[in-house]
Amino acid sequence: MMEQLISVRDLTVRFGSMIAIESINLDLLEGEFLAIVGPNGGGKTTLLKCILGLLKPTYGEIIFHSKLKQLPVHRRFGYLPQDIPTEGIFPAKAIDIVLMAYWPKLSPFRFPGKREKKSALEMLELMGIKECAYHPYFTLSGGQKQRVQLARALVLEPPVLLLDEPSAGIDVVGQADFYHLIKEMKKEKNMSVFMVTHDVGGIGAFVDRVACLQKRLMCHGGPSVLGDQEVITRLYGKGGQRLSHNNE
Amino acid sequence: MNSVFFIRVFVASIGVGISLSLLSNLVVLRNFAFAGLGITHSLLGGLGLGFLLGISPTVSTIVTALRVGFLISILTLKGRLTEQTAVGIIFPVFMAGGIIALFFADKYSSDLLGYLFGNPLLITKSGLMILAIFTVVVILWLWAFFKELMFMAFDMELAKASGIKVNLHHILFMLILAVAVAIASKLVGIILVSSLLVFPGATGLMIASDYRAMFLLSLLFGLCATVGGLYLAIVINLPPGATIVLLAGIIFLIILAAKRVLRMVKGAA
Repeated sequence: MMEQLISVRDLTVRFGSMIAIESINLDLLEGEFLAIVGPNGGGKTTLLKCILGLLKPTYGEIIFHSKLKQLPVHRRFGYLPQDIPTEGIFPAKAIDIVLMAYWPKLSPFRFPGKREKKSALEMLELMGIKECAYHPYFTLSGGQKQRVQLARALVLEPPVLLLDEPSAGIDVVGQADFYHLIKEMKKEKNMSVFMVTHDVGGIGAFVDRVACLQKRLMCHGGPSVLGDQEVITRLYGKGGQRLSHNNE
Repeated sequence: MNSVFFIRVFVASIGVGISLSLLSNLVVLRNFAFAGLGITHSLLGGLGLGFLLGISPTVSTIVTALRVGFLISILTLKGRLTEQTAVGIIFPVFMAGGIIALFFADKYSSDLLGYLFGNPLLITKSGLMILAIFTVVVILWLWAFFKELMFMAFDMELAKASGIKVNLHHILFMLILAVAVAIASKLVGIILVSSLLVFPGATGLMIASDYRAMFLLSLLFGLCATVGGLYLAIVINLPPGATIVLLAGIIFLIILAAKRVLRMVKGAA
């Protein structure tokens, strides 16, 4: 039986009088790919930030399995944020960005060594962008930058990968490639994936379970809920269209 | 003036060059130039208080710098104000306080002009010791927490999510930045010292392949500006603070022009 790695219990977050999410109860099981879908402003990123500890809930709690609790914060999750830096002045090569994953665990005056660099290069190779390892990060394409960030999130082999709107800024072909990659990594590294996205178009074939969030948890189940017109209308309004998918 | 004095001011220019150049990288990468400007102008408040109460302006400016650095950190970390707004509120208040304190002190001495525009004669033996100790502190602090500071410069939220104590490091950065400008203002002057928190880092950034190279290049350009500027000021008999800043600006322009010419040559080839 799959164990609960993360249990969200009666979680409510308010910003002043505005309710961001209310009474959320949800579990992330070991080894599963869970997608939280819903419209923009539905509270998906708020939920993710609570799990990461970046936001404190107004009510409720998040319970971590002892497997996660025993790990330091930087090893619990691999995190791919929504707004990955795509433009900027920070002069770094792609491999430097991947090596950042090691920085929080190293004591003062210490820096990543040969072993860490080897692991970073191997991870970039798995992502299919080893040839970009020594290219300046900000000169890479949007898809390459995202793979570099994914390599950073995965290089420490965390038990849970947290993805915040990973399809933003990538074309349709790139999105399918990206989800294939995530599915492969999940299998290879035996990890759980918790993804929030407003884009439900192409995820049905890759995820194990879907939860629909519009401030409250409206429904959850297998990927087939994405094909339910009533669910989509409740989430996105009458403009939402039923989505066909192939759950391989 | 004797050789001991010259050695003292040149050593001071090396200390100022090292500490401000290293800090300028963080200022440039985190877009903190306005904070540097704000802190330096706020020092007028400490200067005024020092003259009014008859205490050492060095002590009063360092204490003021620490207060300003702490206030900016607190106001911005609470998330209610941006760093630009916090600086925009704090620095005019401290500056106005300084002007009123100087009005009551009724003491527009040459010392005051020295602090405003820089005067190597203000660098005492004890001042040089403070500068030397501070420079070592800056080097050790940067070496120890280089990873955390670079992660924060790349992406603050990602750094926080990765378990880095961003608030603590941010406050420490602001306090060190504040003390640096307070100490360096004797040589360069309150009015111009903030430019040394920008020029070395900005010049290094233009040609650096990565952040490590940026730090090394900024150190080279910063030392050229402070030591070279002081030398030129003594030889040609110019105000040292202004000469140092002008040289830093000229180095920036030369590197900018060289980069453009190289790009054009590459494009033509």
